[in-house]
Amino acid sequence: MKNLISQFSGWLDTRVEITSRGIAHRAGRRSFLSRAGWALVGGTVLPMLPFDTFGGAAMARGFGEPEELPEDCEYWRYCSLHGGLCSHCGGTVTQCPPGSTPSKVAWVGTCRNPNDNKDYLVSYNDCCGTGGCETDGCSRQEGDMPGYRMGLASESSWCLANTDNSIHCTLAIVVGLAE
Amino acid sequence: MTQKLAFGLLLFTSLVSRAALAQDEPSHPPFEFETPTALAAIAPGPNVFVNSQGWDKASAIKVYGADDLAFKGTMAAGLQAHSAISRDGQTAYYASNFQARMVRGPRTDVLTVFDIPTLSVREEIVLPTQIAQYTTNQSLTRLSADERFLFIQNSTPATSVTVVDLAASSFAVEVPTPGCFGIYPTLAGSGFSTICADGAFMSVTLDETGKTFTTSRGTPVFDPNEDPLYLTFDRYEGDLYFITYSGAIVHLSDEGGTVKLVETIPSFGADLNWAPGGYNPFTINEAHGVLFMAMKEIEEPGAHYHASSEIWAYDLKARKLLFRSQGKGLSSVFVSDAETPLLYSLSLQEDEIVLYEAIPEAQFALRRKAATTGTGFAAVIDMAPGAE
Repeated sequence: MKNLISQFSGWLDTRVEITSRGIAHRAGRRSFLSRAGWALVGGTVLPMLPFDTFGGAAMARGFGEPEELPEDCEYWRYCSLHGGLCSHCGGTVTQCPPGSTPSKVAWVGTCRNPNDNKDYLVSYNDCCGTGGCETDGCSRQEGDMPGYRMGLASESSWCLANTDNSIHCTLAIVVGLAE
Repeated sequence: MTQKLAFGLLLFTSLVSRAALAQDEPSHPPFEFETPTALAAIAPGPNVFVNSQGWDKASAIKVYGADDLAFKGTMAAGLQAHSAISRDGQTAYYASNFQARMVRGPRTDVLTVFDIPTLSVREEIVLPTQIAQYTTNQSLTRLSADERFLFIQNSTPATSVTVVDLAASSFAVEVPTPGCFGIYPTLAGSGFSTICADGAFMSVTLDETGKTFTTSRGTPVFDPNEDPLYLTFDRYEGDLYFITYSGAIVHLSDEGGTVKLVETIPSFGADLNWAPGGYNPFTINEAHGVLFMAMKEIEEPGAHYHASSEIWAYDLKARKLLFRSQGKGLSSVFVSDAETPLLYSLSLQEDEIVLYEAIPEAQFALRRKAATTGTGFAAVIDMAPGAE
């Protein structure tokens, strides 16, 4: 979640797009998300978090994804995104801009890839430690829950465990299959 | 000849005008030169407080006249601040974090205590560096019922609550609340409850020193997998009320040291395909037992924080939908507990606070009375409970 004050107008614009999008929502997703939430809130030691292992590199490309990922909020891997994409700030969808650092922890969404009809885990890491990128954001937040399921809480800053806490932009990293 | 006459007339008129001006000049008082000063205090009268949270700039509690939304001034602090107001409306508590070099460097978390009449800093209390960097919500910083302690939500992202001893102006204790979030003070004394991941509440009771505490845990009162609770709460007739993402009303009792379910009232909007939307989307008027909910037509999943377009009035006793009032871009609502309720709404979209009068004789329809723009990223409206 990045630059909230400068983004809320962008999110509201995005609402119009959201109402017309047609990505399926499945009953099974919520039950998976609840398990993911438990894994997070039950673990109070950061290295236990499943999202601390990617080391800043993209680990997967969902079947059918183009080399250059679309930036439209409707794109499938942004189903729970809440923030401005780092590809608008000098980085890419999966890489932080130079001079910033990926957050050590993140919230996670489960998004359906329409190309292979499978659900993927998407880790929404913030990039931290710098500022000044003014960009519109996306606010889809599918599967979001308040902080009592912290691993699903997109209203939290996720730079909170980094040495430098400022939020710059947000990544959308596919970290695995949800099944 | 005609040209000469016209010129003569013009000259005469000009001379008369100059003579008249010359006669006026002595009546001007000498210019009084100015020096910069500051107003000593805000205008008297009840206030409404809006937490305008800064994520890349200073956060500020904005103060408005409760009856007309006249802007009176601000109380500013650091990033991602959470606020609480004392019962007598004299003191504001603002918990925030500061990074040494704005976007990097060591972080200091501070509770800034403001004197509301003068909008000036009364004291600062440095706290452990773990205050939740989270979209502002009324449940993230609360005073104990006896106002002896302040409770502040932490997240590292492991969750806990910092207890501040206000009498000693110091940090008292950190209460671990793993997997729980939100602070709901007890009606009396120095305790609070918090929502946990399994749908139960954990309750915490502090001793007189605030240094030690006991905890208890109730049974689940909602199913987070099926229909999560918003963090927002209100009290009515002493009990706790919450709403779910679908608009169900969850009535709880925290009497006796644990939080128990009294009943769940099904959503009154679901059949019409409407659900709540916003950050603090409901509020209850105590005098009439009327719950107001910001509502929008149901959208795709994930739209629970998106703006609402109407405010619905619902009679908690009669279990009856009373009235649907129009709004615009609604993100938060707050109603006073008075016989003639004043309702305030915030809109991120419109960047404004709006004041409505709820009319009991007209099914609590809302009549717009005033509006002021410039609220910023604001999701929490507060009034001093003693001033409502």
